[in-house]
Amino acid sequence: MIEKKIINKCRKGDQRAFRELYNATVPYIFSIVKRYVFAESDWKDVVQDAFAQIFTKINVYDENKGDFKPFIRKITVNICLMHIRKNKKTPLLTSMSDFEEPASIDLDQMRFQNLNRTDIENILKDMPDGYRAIFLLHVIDEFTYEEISEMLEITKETVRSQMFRAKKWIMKKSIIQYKKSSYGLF
Amino acid sequence: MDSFDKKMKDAFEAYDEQIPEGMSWDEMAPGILDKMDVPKEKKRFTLLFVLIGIGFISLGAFMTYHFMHEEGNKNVGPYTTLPEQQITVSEQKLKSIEEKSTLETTDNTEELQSNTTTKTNNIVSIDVESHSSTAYSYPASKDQSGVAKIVHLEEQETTAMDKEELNQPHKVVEVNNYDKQSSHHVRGLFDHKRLSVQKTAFLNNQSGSQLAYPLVGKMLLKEPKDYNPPFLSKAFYIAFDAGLMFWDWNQTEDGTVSIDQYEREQLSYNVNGRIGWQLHKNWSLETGLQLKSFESEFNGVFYDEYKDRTDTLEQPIYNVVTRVVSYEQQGEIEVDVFEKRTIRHFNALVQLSVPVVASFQWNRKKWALSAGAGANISYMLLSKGRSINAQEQLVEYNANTTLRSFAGFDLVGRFGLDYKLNDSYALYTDIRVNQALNTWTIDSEMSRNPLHYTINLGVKKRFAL
Repeated sequence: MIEKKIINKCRKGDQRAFRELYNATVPYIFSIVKRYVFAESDWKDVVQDAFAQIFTKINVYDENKGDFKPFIRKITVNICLMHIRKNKKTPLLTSMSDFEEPASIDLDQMRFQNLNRTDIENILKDMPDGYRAIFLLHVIDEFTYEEISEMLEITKETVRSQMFRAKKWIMKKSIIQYKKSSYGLF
Repeated sequence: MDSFDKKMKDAFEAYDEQIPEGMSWDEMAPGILDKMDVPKEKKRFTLLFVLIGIGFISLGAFMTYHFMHEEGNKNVGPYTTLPEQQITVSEQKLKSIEEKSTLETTDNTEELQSNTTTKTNNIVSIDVESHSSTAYSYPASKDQSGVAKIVHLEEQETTAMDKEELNQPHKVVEVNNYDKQSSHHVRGLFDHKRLSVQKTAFLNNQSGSQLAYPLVGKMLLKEPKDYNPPFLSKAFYIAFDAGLMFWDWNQTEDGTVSIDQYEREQLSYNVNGRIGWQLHKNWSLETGLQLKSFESEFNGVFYDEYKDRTDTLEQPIYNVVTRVVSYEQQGEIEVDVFEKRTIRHFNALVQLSVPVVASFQWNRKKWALSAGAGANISYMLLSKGRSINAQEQLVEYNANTTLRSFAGFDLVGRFGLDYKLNDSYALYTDIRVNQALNTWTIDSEMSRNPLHYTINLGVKKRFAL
């Protein structure tokens, strides 16, 4: 938990407070950045952008409306999305026709529980950008469909359908991964 | 949230993300502040002090050279025009001179008149006994080590050549020797071993007769080859002062601990005994002993949210920070609950320093303003402290057991203002800024480069050897 006093000092532009806030929150910020941005060379730049935004927008943070953590999470996620858009130069959404829809999959069949974090990270790395962004926003960072639709400037229905497809895509990939593992391919 | 979502979320949430190298605040701050378009954090004063120190030393060297060189040229430099001076001559001497003048006038009138159109027939030679201390030479040669101050004028028959030279208004007269046996009578001062002046130059006033000088035109003196003006004077001063001290930790953070620097209270003082050497009217070098008593009271808090610091509980109780991490369930989401613990420290340190400071001063009639720079060599005589730990227990500890840097080196900058009571005594105020270059480590987690300021009042006594 970040102390109110530190936040207040940050609002006044106290750079010692910036340092304290940075040291306290950088692991969290970095974990978000790492989820959205896979290029290691971009991490530092995105983290800097995120903190610049946090320090700049800290004046509008209202303690009465919620914790500080969701506030910085939202800023960081937005920065990450901007970064992805800027670098891809293409719409963040994934066209439904770009990928073959996976067949209906039974969760019990896929042995999903056996996958560890690294497996999941590998799966996400291969995921189309549009799917991944919406999946991370909703499942990991717990933004509602409405919030995601505002952030990505798309309709709520689009978010919902992309989310559905993202999950199916992951399940399909998980099964492939599981089967390869079972046959000792890796 | 279904089991799929939960599995995915758990995979990320339970993971303690390691920060890669190159993402410390010091490395990231310039980029962040650039993007925020705010001024960057001010750097530590260390480099500034070094530059100020170098600046003062360079300025001092230049000014010393400049003033010494200028004074040398002005007073004893080669072919420097002497200022017009008056030399007091006693009545008795005047009478003697006039008698000689009469004789000489008698002897030389015809020859002089035949060789010059000006009235130089009253040429005399004089032996001046009383003289101004600044009449002819620099420095004031109380010890006769400089150029002679007075001229012994020897009666001698004037030759045609001499007269010709005498009539030249800007004749250069070489100084090539002087008599060390007498403080006032110097024979053979000039190349020609004689200097003649006009009798009409002797004037009468209330204090006696005076020799108006120069009368044979402006004489120029040349510095003797073996003359070396003294670089250093022999004036010293001693001083005693005492005052308050204010200090601040320039904390070296290891990324896990933060000191709450805004709740610190402190009261410290220092006493000084100084001895200074007045190198020059504007420059002095001083040293001495300075006893500093540092006292501080501050809180240590821990802010890191993501590192399990329960291990610090096993450290000695006076460690700055402890923290407890626990978890509680709120629905399906795990929320970290952190408890911040604060430990209050009371430190007392006594340090003995030997400062060496060079200062430049601007002298006024009653006031002198000075600025200087130098260094301190310091030794920690005593270090002890108490702390109130997270359980509100008072714990005594002897920092001598953990203070790892006992001796140190500081850079010093100073400003001073002297009020001269009389020629010997002055009251002064002295403001100093000390930046420790070495790190003081008082406990296992905190290390610091103290920056402290002193403001002192004292008295100074000057004396000459």
